[in-house]
Amino acid sequence: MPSEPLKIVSSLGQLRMLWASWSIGTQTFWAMFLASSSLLLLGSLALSNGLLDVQQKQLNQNIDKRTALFSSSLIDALISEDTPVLNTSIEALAQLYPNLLGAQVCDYANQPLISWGSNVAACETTTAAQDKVTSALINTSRHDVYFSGEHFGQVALRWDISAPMGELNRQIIIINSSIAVAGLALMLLLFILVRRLVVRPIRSIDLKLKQVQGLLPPDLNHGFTTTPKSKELLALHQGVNHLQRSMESEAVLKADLTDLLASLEQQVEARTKDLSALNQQLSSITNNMGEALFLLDPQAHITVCNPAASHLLQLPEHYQGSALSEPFDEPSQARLAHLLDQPQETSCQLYLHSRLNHANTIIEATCYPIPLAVTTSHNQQKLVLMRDISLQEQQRHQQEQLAFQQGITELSVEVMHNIGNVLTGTLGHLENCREGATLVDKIGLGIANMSASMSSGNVSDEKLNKIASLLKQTSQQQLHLPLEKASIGISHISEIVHQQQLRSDTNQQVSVFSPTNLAQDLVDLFSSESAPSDINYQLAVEDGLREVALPRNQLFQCLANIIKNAIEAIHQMHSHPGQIKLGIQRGSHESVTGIVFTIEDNGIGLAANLIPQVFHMGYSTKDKGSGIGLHSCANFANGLDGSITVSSAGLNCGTCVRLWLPLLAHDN
Amino acid sequence: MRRYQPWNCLKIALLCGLSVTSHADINLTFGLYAADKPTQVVAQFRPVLTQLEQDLTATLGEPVIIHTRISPTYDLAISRLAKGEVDFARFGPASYVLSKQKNPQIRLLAMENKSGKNTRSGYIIAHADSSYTQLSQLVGQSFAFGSAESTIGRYFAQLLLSEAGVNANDLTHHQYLGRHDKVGAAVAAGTFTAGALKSSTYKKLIAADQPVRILKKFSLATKAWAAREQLPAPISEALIGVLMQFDDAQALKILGKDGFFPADDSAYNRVRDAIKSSEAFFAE
Repeated sequence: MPSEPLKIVSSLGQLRMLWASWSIGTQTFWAMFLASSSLLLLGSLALSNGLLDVQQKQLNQNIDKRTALFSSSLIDALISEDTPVLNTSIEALAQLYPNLLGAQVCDYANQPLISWGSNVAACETTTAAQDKVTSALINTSRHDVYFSGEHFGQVALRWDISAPMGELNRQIIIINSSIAVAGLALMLLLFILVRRLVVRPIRSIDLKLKQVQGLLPPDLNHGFTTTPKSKELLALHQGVNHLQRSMESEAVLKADLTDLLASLEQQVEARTKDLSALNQQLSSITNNMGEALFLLDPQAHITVCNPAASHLLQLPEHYQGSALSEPFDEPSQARLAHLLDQPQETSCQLYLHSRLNHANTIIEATCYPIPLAVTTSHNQQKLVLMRDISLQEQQRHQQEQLAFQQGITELSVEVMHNIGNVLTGTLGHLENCREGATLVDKIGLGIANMSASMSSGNVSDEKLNKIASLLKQTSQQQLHLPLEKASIGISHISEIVHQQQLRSDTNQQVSVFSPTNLAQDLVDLFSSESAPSDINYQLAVEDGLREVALPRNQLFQCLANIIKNAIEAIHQMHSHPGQIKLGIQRGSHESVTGIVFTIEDNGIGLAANLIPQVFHMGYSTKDKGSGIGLHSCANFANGLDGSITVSSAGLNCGTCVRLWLPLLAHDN
Repeated sequence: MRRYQPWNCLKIALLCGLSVTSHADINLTFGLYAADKPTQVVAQFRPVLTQLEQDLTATLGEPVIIHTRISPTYDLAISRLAKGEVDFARFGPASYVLSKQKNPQIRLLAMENKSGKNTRSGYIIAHADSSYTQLSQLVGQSFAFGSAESTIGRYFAQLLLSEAGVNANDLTHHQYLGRHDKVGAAVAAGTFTAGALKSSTYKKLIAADQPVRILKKFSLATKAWAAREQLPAPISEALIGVLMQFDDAQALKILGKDGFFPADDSAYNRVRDAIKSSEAFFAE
């Protein structure tokens, strides 16, 4: 006995055989019949459901309106919580509407005032409680009672709507039945029409075809039958046609591609020519460049360079792959590595010292970013530009040496000037000594005269004569003679100083120099004078401030005077190690751009009342000070339209001197 | 046996109080009785209560919501205030005195201001065509009272009748009709010889050309606003403060008052006398 699935398969097979045995007309009819029936069934179902939904919504709305109307009529009783009136009203409503199953009225706090009939959970506020009491045939409607914007409670009524819903269902059944009858009538009409218009003509043609087939001989008759071989040939023919169409399409596509390729080749050729010309121009530029140009791979190996580069570093013929840092000494290699590690966004410069030809060649190297390719930090290429600045550096060094020597000379002139002043004073004192010696002579003469008078008056004192003689001898030998010699010697020194001053050229000659070197020279000068651990010097020169044009010698002297004062101020403070900060930076004064030199020490400092006097001629806070140093600094600053200021927080709080000089035309 | 320690109770109360004040609005219930149609009463008081909600919210710093709770009878309203089922209420003098008798801890908050005074008028009226000029002439006649708890409608009327030598036994019959308007209608219709009602009801009768006239006019304290026992002091103080400062002209106009006066319990002593004398009125 076959199983159920086998039965179904067998039934499906029988249906298929039955379907194949029908003519095309019969098949068409039954297909249309089934499709129409399905559509009719679906339509009637949708219509009935829609009608049911609309009617149910209408019914529910009516019930809600009835509840709202009833609630409004109860508003006075509900507001005053008059339960007898509420009970009476509910009972009256139940008599009026027999399908009322239950009712509940709650006060403003959701506390039940009255309950009637079945349990209506109006006073429960949860949604679950509301859903629990509502079904398709039972409707629970609720109405919140508000008056003057205040909530006074809720009225809930439960209704039995099975009667109207049953009536509604009966109406739906009638409608569906009508639709079914109409559908069947339509099917019958369709059946007749299809039979007459489609099935009969096809059967007629089929019959005539069989008649023709019966008239043909058996071998020709074979061609009219749809054997598997003929189907295969037909499929093969269709495949050939399809293949032919595909080949034609491919031929058209190939022709288009050939045209496109030719166009692209022309564009490539034109671009190649442009690139070749540009490459030649670039090669010509790089080959004729005086600066050495290197293209480095991510490992800082040379990829390509121009002839100037090969010449500068004397690279071998096959330089590709050699390290750029190879020709340089170890410190320079470290600086070069640091340079190449810098971010690509900005270029930077470094000075390298080469050992080639056993000469100190100074090379300025600049690393530039390459914005052409999308690179990462691991495969970045770098472009390095180098130029030999040995001669420039040598000249600059010589100039600075010369300026330094001039500074020393001017310093010595200043010293000589001070000595001359001292000697001049000493000469004055010697003149006073000479006058004193003359006075001693006169005293000795007086004593002699007095001795003579005493002898005439019977009073003779040989001792007085001896004293007078001794005084005279002393004044001649111990005063007059040495003083005369000292006077001659000092005059001689004065003459030498005068000659030295005459020989020294102290005019303010402007020169271009590096402020960093100036500061370093000052530190070197004073470091050699003091013990290494005595004073700590700190230099702070603004980045990029490479050269300035100022009277270097006078500036050197001025700064030396200030630093000398700072050292002496530090020595007056024995409690802590000395520290002098020398800063050089750009700065504006009254909207004029200039350079600011700042010397700050942690020495004895200045009282506030003394600060205004420090630039006066001859004023000094030191025991042996001349009062000339800061005065000459002020004169120097004024001579250049600059300014100098001193500030101090008070005694034991250090001093800060700020010298501002305007930038001259040659300044960088 | 486990005993509840007072300190533990205090801690629990503090915690409950803190949690309530920090997480919830302040919900107050305002008690009234249905002297008129409840919806009219709500419409009359809602503007005042809305303004009070705003003022209390500003004063206490927390949202305050006042719910109107209208009792269908005087007795129930008095009982609710005495039991603390409403937080504060607006009563007529007799209702206040009776509720105070039930619970002496009830606190008088304020008295209503009517035309700058803390007194109002009540009338004993008779039909306009009648010849009565004094209360003593009502011996052998009928009398309509208002509510059995009404100050004007019962207690003051019975006090004046008793003072005039007319007691319950001297009347042919009397009845409590429940509301002032019913009293006016009954006297105008001639159902009763005389009756007691408030001045506003009398004015409405005159405006409606009803045939009534004043037989005796008397004055009594205005209505009282009182708070239940143990209403938290900050709330009751805030209520007093906002009532004293109440100046919403529109709300006062709807209420038919001109503001509030500070509480004066002694102003209701006359009412207390009237309530006591009602016993004499019914004495044999």
